[in-house]
Amino acid sequence: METVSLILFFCLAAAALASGIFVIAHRNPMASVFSLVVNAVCVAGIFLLLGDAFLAAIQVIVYAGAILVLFLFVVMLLDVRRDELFGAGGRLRRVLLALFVAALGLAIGRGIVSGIGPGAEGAGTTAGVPAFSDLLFQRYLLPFEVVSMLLLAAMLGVVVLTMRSTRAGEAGGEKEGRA
Amino acid sequence: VTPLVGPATLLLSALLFLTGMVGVLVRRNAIVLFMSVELMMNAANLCLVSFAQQLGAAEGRALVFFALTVAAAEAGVGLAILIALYRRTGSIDVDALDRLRW
Repeated sequence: METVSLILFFCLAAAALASGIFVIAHRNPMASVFSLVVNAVCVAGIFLLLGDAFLAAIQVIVYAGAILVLFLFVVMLLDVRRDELFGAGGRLRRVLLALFVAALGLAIGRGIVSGIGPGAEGAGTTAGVPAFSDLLFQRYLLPFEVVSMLLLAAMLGVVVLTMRSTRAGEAGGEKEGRA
Repeated sequence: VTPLVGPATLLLSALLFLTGMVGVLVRRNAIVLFMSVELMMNAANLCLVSFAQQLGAAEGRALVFFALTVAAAEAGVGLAILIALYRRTGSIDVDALDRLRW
């Protein structure tokens, strides 16, 4: 059982990493969106392996379902041309990029070398939905409500952002029509 | 879950974060840039879930729940901004957006 889950984990991890690299490396944005779907589903699978079925379900529904459909929609709407892989950045940008990547790689390396302590006693016992919902609806009730307000604000913001430009476009169209 | 999976998950999440960061720094297409940001948020969520599982703390999972909600809101607003931008300038190349540069 343990080896099976280990093999499954490494398959999922390899797929997640490969699709993540595909997202940033493919020239066609449409392919990037689909590999991001694959990445989200792989990460959901790893959540499942970590014993977290609820978050895995949310991950699939919200990420692979809602957010990526939105991305797909926008990519289709905007008629994005295939662009070149690397921006026409100067040498400064390349150097900065190399520095950033080296710094983060160093940090990761140090973290691995210094090691992560063994799991505490009772690891994985909180994975059930009851403990989670207890926490969510008692201790984190206020953030829960605030997040609902945030979603409402985001919804209104999206409508306003796109509506204003639609009106401007219509006005422009009218002007053109009159001229 | 085998004890090896926890640290390996952390390593995976770090690598995914690195991938997203390279994408943000390298690409110029605003949509792909945005997808790289989503990749990084995904990596952060993976890290949180891994720690929650290793330490037996449900708080990390609640945090992931909130992070997912905020990511959804952020994606909606960000894509709306992209659409408004495209309507205004006809392009979503981030290098073309240098009006605030001095």
